[in-house]
Amino acid sequence: MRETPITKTIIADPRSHYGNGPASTRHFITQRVTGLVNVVFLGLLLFLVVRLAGQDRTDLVAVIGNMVVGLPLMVLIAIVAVHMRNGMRDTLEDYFAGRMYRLVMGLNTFFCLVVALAGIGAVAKIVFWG
Amino acid sequence: MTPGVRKAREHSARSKPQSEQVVRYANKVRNAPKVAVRGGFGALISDGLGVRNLEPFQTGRGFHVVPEAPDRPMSVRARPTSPHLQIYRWTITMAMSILHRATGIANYAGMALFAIWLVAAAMGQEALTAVNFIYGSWLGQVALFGFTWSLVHHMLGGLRHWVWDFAVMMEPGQREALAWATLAGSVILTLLIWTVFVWAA
Repeated sequence: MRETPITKTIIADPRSHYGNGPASTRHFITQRVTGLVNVVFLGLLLFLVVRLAGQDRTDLVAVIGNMVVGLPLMVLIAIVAVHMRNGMRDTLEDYFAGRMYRLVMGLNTFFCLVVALAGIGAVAKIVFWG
Repeated sequence: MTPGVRKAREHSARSKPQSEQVVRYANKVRNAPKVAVRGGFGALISDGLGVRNLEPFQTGRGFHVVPEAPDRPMSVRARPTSPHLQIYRWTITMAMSILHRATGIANYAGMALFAIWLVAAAMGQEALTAVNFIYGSWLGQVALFGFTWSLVHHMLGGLRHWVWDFAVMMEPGQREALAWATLAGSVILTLLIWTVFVWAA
């Protein structure tokens, strides 16, 4: 699980490059853009929780079942999941390398996928089938 | 007088002026302006008089020299394997950076709470009632309050990164102000949200 040690020869070699440049830039921009979109998500989340906390299901279906609320909510949950996976990747890269990194990154993807599918599936059920 | 004792006395006589020099150096460092470099790697710093055992961050002004060190045989402390949290002077930007990651991880877990709520709502009234009961309990309310603060703090931290991406607010003073603003803003916004929407509602 230790990363490969960086030796003086590697540093001195001008052809050395560390990690995937384009992918890292994409990661950075994805994180910033999804993060900005998440401000909207936070507003919607706040509205929903404030409006629906402790309310009965009929009330909840009336609000989330509305396409104007339900459809953006599904999209925003997907974007949040991307942001979650991307952000957790930063943390994992700091503490894991090699096979261990691939393992925890797999768990990360799995968790984000489960949260996204469960959330989007639940909203879709409420929107389309009540 | 045995040769051994004479040698020891000569040694202590020789080392005396050096120890005064070290104390002078220590005073000089202690009186140095606050901008003096702090920190380093926690253990051995050569001052040109030999390597001494120095402890950073004790006085808040430069390095604090261990008082016994000059008169003792040089004490050598093992170097830390990796510079980490305990050897840095805490700064507000550093604390907010750590908090940004911590709140990110908390939000990561907290999103599961939101997903569980939605799934329960999709399943039916019974499941929703159960989840509402748990989230409405005092433990649930504490968790949701923490989650609110975590979300708000992470949002403000993210917006701060957006500001920095335009290479502004990076100068000394500015970045600290921005970091304090994140902290103060997150606390104020969270209290505002809960006051308006929960406690006063």
